[in-house]
Amino acid sequence: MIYRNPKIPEGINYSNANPVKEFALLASGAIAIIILAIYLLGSLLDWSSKFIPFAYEQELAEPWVKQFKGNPTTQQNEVAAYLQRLADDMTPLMALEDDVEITLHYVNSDTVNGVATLGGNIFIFRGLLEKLPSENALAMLLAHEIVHVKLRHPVKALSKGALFTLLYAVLSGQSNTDVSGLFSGTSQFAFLGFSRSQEQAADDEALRVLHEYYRNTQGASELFNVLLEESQQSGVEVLSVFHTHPEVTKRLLNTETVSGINNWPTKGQSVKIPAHIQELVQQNKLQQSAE
Amino acid sequence: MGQFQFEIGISILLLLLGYFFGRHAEKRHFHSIRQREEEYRDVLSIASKVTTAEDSAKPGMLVTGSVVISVDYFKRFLALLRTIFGGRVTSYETLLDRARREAILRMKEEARSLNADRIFNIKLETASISKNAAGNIGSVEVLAYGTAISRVNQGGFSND
Repeated sequence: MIYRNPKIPEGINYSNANPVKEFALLASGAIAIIILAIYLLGSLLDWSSKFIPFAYEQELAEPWVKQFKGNPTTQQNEVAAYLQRLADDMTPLMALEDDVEITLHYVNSDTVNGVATLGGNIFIFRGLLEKLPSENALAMLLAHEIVHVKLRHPVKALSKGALFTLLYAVLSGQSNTDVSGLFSGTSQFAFLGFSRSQEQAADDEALRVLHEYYRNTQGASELFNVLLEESQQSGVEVLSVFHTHPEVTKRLLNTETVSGINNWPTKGQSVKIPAHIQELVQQNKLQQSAE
Repeated sequence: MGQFQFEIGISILLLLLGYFFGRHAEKRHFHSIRQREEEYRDVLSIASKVTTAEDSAKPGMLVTGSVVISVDYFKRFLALLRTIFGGRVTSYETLLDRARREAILRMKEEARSLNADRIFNIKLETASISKNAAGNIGSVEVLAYGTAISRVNQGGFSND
């Protein structure tokens, strides 16, 4: 036998293709899978939230609500009781599930906001209450927050938050991320924003309730005008508070559209917030600025 | 979330470093391999055990050549992505091709220094260093060995 060593031909045992192309293709595929998984998990959570018993939600919120409320004065309790009465007047129009309980809280703080959180707890801040021109506007605000509770938006936000914490723990590979204690710090989820579509749903149903309660939707435009003025005044800061709310002008427009379609009058008699409640709110304000 | 972003940043930096340095090193290595393969063409490397009749009187010597090459972060990441989708792990193919050819070249170098012009019964062995130890980037060793046949006729066995 005659042995020879020919030149080794190139490109048989390996590929000359640019690895960046391969990397781009594989990485985008992997990212697409992750995004799809997050989306599917999110949708699953969204759908399954309605099976979480309301009582569990209440239990979860209780310690946090206690802490957040502090020790309200009798004056504050009186304002809260008024808010509660107004809410209780409206809830029969909303077909809430039997086990859902709405609890109104009044917070003496300059924050211009109203928040629906876990366990049917709704916080109305003095900053917003003192700016509302009528009970109609207040009713719209309460109806909006109650619809959030009815549609289980807080618990959906909570489960989304838990999902992201979990994903963060998995992706970062951090063993010190407290996955087991996901729900122990409920407070960090309590102010989780709702999505635009959730806000839209809340607005739409609140409009219906408002119409059924007052036979007009005046309160909606009154409320949104307050929010609009506020967002124009302090710019970025307030915008961030309302950033998941559809832009206020769009909400105003939506009020007109929805009212128009359903033939609901947008103007009507305005009901004043009772004078003694207004007085209490003003006293609260003076108290706080004195402190 | 700051720490998370920091870790992502580090990973991207490592990927870029791995890509640029790894690619540069690979190009240079292939260039050098092709050059030396030309240079050592006269040292025949043969996988067969059967020597020629004239070789029977010449001394046979064990010659070895081994090389260790490190995987870079970019190659490893590509291979990791391949574990999801399957298919040719091209990033490791170039790595191992380089290692095999380099090992054979080193073996030939040893054979030439021993005044041999052919190596019979060539074997290649591959080993992964550090395997899958956590936090280890890992490298690959390729060992080539065979029996070199001396050019000159010395006869018998010798331990020199």
